[in-house]
Amino acid sequence: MKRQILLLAITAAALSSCTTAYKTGQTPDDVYFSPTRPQDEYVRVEEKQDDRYQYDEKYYDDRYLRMKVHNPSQWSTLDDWYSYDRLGYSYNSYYGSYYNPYTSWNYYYNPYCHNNVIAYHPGYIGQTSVAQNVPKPRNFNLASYTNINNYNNANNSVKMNSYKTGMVRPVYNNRNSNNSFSNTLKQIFNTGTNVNSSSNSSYSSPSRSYSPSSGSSSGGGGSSGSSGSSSGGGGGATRPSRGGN
Amino acid sequence: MKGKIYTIIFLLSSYISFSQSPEDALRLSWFQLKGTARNQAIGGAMVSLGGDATANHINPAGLAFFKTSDFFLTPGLQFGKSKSMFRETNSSGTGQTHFDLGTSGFVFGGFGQKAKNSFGITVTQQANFNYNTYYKGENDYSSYGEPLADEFAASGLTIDQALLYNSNISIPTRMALYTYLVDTVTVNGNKQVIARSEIPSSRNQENKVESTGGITEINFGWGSEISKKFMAGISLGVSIINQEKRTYFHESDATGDEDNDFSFLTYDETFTLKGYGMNLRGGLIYRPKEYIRLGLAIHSPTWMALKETTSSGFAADLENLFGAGHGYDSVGMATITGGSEKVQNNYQLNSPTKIMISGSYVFREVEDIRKQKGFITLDIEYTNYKWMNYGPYDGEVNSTTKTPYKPYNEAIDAVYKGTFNFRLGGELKFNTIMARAGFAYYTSPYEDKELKGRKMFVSGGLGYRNRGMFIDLTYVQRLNKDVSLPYRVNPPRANTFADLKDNGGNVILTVGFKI
Repeated sequence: MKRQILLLAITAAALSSCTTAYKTGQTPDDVYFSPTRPQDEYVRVEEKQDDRYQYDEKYYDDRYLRMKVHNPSQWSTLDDWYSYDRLGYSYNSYYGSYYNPYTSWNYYYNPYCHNNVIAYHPGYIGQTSVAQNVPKPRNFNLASYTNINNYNNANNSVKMNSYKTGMVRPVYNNRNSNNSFSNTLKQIFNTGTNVNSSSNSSYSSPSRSYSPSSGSSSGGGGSSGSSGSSSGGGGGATRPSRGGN
Repeated sequence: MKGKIYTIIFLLSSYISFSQSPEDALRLSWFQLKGTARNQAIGGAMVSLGGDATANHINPAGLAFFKTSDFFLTPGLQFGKSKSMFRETNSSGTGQTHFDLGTSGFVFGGFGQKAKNSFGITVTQQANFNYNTYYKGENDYSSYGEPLADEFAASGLTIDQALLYNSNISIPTRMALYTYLVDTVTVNGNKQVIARSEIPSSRNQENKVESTGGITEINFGWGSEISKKFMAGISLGVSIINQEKRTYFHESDATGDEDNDFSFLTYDETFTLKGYGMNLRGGLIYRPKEYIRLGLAIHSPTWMALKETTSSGFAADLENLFGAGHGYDSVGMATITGGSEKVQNNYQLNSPTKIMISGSYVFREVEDIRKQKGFITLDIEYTNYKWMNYGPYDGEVNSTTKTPYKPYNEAIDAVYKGTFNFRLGGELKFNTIMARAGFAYYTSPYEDKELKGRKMFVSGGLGYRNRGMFIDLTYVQRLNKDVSLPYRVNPPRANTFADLKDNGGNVILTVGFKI
């Protein structure tokens, strides 16, 4: 953080020493009005630091005379501007006049100003083919986002919102129930008796049948909760042998 | 030899799977566009106003207002502490302060024929992923193990098959199987799949997320004054995306029963996301008469090529299930994947297109700054988060290669919606001193009204412009709301989520120079 602040300060100091063009006079605010950049059309030999961008009467007179000497007829259209328009304050277009020597005409006649041609090369960012086939690091089930079944076992505090015809949005349960919670699995493990979860009026954990399409299960214990050991085959993780008790 | 080759081909072909989620897509698409301090002070509105470097990535037509050139830097600080409520329990995350980079760079104005063209090169940290969230609560309804047990039960696989290295079962589920949290039991002669964390009648749950990173965008823009009334512009944006996020979820028995085969489970995940993106943004500004500016801007999707890496671990304590003191076990990703500590996943994500209209009243548009009194501006933005779209990282894009991403895109369609967003701001100008205020409101992207999400910003600032330089200082108060689902369960079961609040602040400073 300190390094960033220091870098910023150094950059700011360096730049502030360079911005001499607007050291005096008003600083343009481009949101409201942006005059074109002040610039010299000719190199001025007798430059004084204090009035470099002042464009005083002497400067305009000199420039006008130089232009007229060079070609009296070519610059006749600017006679009015140099005579009185320049001194007036009534004219106020958005970005100045075509006859304003600071702006547009420079680009046609100023020998130091050339038309800018911007070469645009559309960028291309190559994509390295690094596609990999990888395991799924997170659990994802579209059904948990979209539900095409109607709800028929929702909590009273749960609000069901119709999403589309034939679709019902997932519902939310953010409160603990105050009624007696009976957990079927707890009863299974503690008592070893059969519990019919569908007959329970309060919440119950979901019942999931185990019906693998092939092979045999090597996990799990009986209702006592004692879990057996796994016999995982090659190419897979093997559950640690717990031995039971 | 042939057998080995066939085995390798089989393993590779069956390893095609994905980890991205709709939540990931939203995180990379739902954020307020940042800007200079002046822009952020007026709520971020910049579609019709122009004359500020922020136009480079909001409406490049606004660059055409520049006839002079600027260099500017916008450092900032973001600070705050998130608050949460999960199952009627209030919590708060740890406080944090992070460096932020608002729009910085160059604008070159007044080029070309009649000085009508301007160019901008700017860098902006558009999204900030520096946040910590924490919530906890007691849950007597569902368990983290529920969707894991559901996935295994629905797979039709045996435990051994599910634990194969090339299994299509998710790694958290495999870890739960490995640690016997998810298991099979025989009830009345029928085998069932259970998650032992469902045994207690109630559980204490806590979720902690620590995230760093963001989206930094470099914009190359061009604006041109077509006539005194029309301005047009276009910009190319290159995004650099970077995030590192650590998620820690802990669930423990809330009943105090020490002999019900479940004490706690822990899931710990480190997720890194890196990538780049590209976008195009263009717009028009129309000035029907003096003082009035109307704007239109269209932002293309940001086409992002992303690589994410996930590393995770899982632990479960099943108390006395295997004898006293033998219930604890843990597993890392290398055991599950057959050696790799991390899983890398590559994909493409497109953020949604945005369409913006705007109006500004600028009083007055004159050169003499003593006569410039102020402005007011309003942006209205429409975007639809259903337009977010996952796709293959590279190679040919066709119906076959897009098929694996279809469930994720369908989920996006189901949970998100179109939104209108608003940005309003104004400035009063007193020669060289300016005072500003702004407001921005981003409506909820969630289709379901139960999920309260919004981004709201109230801002104010001061500016000073004189002697060829300008300094703007802004404070933005964030009043954001969001939700977090620690896990999702399948219907007809109900999901649970935490409400999150982010009421932190941003201090933004722009220092600029006329060059």
